[in-house]
Amino acid sequence: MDTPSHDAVLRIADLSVRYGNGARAVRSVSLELSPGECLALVGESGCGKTTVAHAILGLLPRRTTVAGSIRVGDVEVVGAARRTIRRLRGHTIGYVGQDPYAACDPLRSVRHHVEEGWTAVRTTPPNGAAIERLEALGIDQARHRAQARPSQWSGGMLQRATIAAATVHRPALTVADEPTSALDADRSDGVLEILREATDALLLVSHDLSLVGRHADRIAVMYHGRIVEEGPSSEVLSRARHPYTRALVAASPRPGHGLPEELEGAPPSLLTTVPGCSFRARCHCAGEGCADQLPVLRDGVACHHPLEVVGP
Amino acid sequence: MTDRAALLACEGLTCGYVVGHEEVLAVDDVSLAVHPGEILGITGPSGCGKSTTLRLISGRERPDEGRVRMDGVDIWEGARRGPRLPRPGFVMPVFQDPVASLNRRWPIWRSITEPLTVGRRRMSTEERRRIAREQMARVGLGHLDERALPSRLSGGQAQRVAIVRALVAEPSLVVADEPTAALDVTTAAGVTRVLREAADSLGIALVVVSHDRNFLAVLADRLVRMDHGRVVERTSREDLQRHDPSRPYPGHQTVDITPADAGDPDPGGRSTDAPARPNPSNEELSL
Repeated sequence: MDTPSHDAVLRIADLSVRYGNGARAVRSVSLELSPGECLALVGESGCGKTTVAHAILGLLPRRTTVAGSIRVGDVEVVGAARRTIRRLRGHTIGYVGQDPYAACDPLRSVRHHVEEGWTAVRTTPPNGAAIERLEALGIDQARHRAQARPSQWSGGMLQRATIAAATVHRPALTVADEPTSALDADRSDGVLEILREATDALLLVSHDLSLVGRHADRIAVMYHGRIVEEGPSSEVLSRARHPYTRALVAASPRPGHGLPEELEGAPPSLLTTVPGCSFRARCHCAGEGCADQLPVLRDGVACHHPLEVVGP
Repeated sequence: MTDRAALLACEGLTCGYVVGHEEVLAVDDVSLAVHPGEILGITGPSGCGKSTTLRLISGRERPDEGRVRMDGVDIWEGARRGPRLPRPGFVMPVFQDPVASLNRRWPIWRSITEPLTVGRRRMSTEERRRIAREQMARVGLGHLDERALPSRLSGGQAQRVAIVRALVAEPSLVVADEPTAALDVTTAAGVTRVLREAADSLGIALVVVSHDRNFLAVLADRLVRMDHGRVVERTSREDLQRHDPSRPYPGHQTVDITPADAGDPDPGGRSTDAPARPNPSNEELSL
């Protein structure tokens, strides 16, 4: 069973998603995720990062047009029957959402929610297994606490419980959509560390660059449905070459760096297709070719005039 | 001397809510002071009492114990109904959700200039629009039509309109509860700058509540961290700048505490206050 490292857990090729209202949320996105790796999708709201996550999980609404390919292990998700996707979820793909209180039934105990990790895939939870899962994720007195309702748990602890439920079968891939944005900052790191341990590969959707920089191995920056820059976290954050990535980093509040820089303007509507580079209206480096030629992702950056990287 | 110059000085604020049959102290013996042109950040986990503190110091809620002094005057002393502010519009709020805080049926000039019409002379539409235009230009919204409805604005623009509305009555103190939490990082940066500039160029004092410590670290002059209703840490601007962002709270264990076993907050945290001097309350206030 020794598989070579290029045997990707997730392989997205040329994925495009168009919603029923005509919004083209994802435009020819290609991604790969290796076993044990954490890839972060970052960008402003409406850049398509959540749509990518939902496409992997087969959670897009009806009347959505999906083109391209999403392979999870050796299963093709695009165009697959609902049953096929449902069999993947829970076993092969785990999902952790933004709001743990919304993920749990407010009238049932937290233990019931964790046990859904088994019942959702039509198996019976082994005796005490839910409690063991909670304890493994660092919750003390789990037996006692799991009797309580979700509202009696703090957000950080309840998010651990939803992670416990999502990773019962140690999925090959976990998709986490803003898993810490409903939590306090000092809880976020603990939750992400636990998430990384509980799953094999992790696709992390987030808008928080500093958090992503601490936990992800690679970062893919999305803008107007496309990936504009991709690479190892430290490279992308400290040596960004796409002007948009630079602007995102400059806009993030970083102690010791003075006031953050605003990026003026807003991305174009997803209903429209802009000829050339969709970022050019907000870009300080726009020049020749930007107005009519679509920049392709080459060498980790999709830009006609990538910024020079200074220093070693 | 610092206390005399304080625009806002609070001592021993305590405020409780009744939940079921027990009383929960949302704010427990909190003392703060803010000076003109200064930004004080309040951070802490959800439910730590930071929003209640903000309501207390802006006079929207009466403390069970303790004093709120604005310009040296206790606003609740002898008050029958509402607080006795030094003047109308002394303190103005900015809320988290800018879209919800603007009337969606009003053109933005009307929202912006509404504070000017409260208890004052009538103003012509022309004059109100002119003032709105001037104020909008100050926060980088000069390119917008003041007759636009809020639905035409992005989140960052709407929040700046809400900030302009708070500034138009020339308040001495602005209180903002999570002013960037609903915004993208790219537009939150602009709001951060507008708030800083209000303090620097207009000399307004700001108290900003946020759970985002990095946001407050770049914006505020001083930061207090609350937990379980108490102030557990006070940080100066210099320390904020030096701070390692990968460790959000120094000396604070990242352990979740359920409400059920909410014990004593870290008592050591208060030791960051300077040692007592002849007037202990002043010392506490001026950090």
